[in-house]
Amino acid sequence: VSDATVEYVDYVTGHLPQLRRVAHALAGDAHRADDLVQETITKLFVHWRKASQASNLDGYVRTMLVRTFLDERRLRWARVRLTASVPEPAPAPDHDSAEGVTVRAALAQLPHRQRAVLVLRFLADLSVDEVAEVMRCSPGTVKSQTFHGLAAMRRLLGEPAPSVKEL
Amino acid sequence: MSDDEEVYGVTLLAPLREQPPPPSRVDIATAIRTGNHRRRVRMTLAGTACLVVVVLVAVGIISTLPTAGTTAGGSTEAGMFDPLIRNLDVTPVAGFVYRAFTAEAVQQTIMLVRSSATTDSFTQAKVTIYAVGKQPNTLGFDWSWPTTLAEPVHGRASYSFDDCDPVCGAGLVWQWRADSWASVIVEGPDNRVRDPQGLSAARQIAAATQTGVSIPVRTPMTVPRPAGMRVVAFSDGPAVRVVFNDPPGPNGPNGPAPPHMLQVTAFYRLGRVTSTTMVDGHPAHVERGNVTVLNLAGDWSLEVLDTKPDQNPFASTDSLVRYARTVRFVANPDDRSTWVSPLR
Repeated sequence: VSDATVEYVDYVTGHLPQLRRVAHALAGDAHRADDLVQETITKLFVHWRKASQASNLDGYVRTMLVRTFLDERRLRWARVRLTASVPEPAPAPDHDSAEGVTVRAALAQLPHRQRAVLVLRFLADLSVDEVAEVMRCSPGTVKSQTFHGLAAMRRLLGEPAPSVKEL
Repeated sequence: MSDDEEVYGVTLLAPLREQPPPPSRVDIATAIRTGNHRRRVRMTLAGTACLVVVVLVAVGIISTLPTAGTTAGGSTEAGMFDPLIRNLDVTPVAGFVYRAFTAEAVQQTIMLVRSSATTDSFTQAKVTIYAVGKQPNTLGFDWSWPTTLAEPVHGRASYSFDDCDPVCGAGLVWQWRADSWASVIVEGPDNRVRDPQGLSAARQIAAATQTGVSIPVRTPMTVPRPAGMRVVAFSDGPAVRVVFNDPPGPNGPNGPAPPHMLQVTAFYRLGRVTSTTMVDGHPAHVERGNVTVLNLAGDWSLEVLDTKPDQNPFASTDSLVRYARTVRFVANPDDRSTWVSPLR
């Protein structure tokens, strides 16, 4: 096993919980989240030589994860079961609190990009500029997506909208 | 963005931050194995592209390829394929079962899998025919460009390979017409395990390949052709898909890609999709550029996907839903004998 592979395994092992947490928020369910992470760490292995030289490796990997999520609907073919005899995996045990279930369900109803912006901003703790870089859009678009995403979450959760003055 | 909004966002997602993730199916060893496979594929494709040019120049084929005007059953005036006419078939081959057919203007492909394959294995065989003048420089993966002159296939010159450089596979390429190439690729049971029967299987599949056919494709649903768009691709496998595109610009098919595609897909037993609304009494996932109506006809679901919903008549989800409502499934889509021509 090469040194590069050892470094890769060390990095992925250490960052798996964080990747899975973000992926779970993006994908909405644990199975698709695992698919997202599996695909992301596979891509990471393919590009490890370049990725490991990145000045911000965590950001590099997070961008890979989000791009994989955003591209995922174009890859829907891959989710099709190829034969009728292959059983669907059993649902993963639900570890969410009641509040977590509610928030996750609301989040899942947002458009993909809006959802990604909220997760990156408020779960991965990225700045507006960092989110813009990951999403390949302008900071203004991130602010707009954040505003509309939070407004949609308020509606979905039945919370009152803040006054203009509050914003 | 205000501080209040910032605080609200952080507070809102806090429950997702604190809880432990559920048990994981993520497997680092699998990622390394698959990643190694992809690395080899990338190297093979890059090498293949270069070698194709070298080999074609060396044998003087490029100079003999007509540029346009050749026709054959189902081909268009420019020598391209009509995606709704299948010009390729493979009669049953021992040890393989049919998986999928895909058609575009430049190539048609039939995918076979070994009868013993599992959904996790890469074991498969791919038969491809290329349109006039389209050299097979995008031939599959897991194989090296063949340089060994082989027994003729259907009376035409062919080349073979059977090695593990960089991964194991066997196959043949031959000219299915005087000016067009065909290929069969049989992958090994594993990237690093040579299948001693691989080349023999490739020969059998090549012999079973029929290129003189002209069979209209059939689908479990009928779809209206959106105004101004044309069919550019079709696939029939685990899902059945018709792809529309804007017509080519003033520079023709070699010009910039048209602005958007509309993909209409019938999925059999679609995997998990979160429903966001109901469409005509069926759960559906609706978002910008994508409408998926679940279990619209028994186990069959419908997806209408617009690749650039900003720039076309389907910019609103309402218009996409309206279009999805015009797709009609046959009475019993599980019975392929009742399938029909896709356009109406």
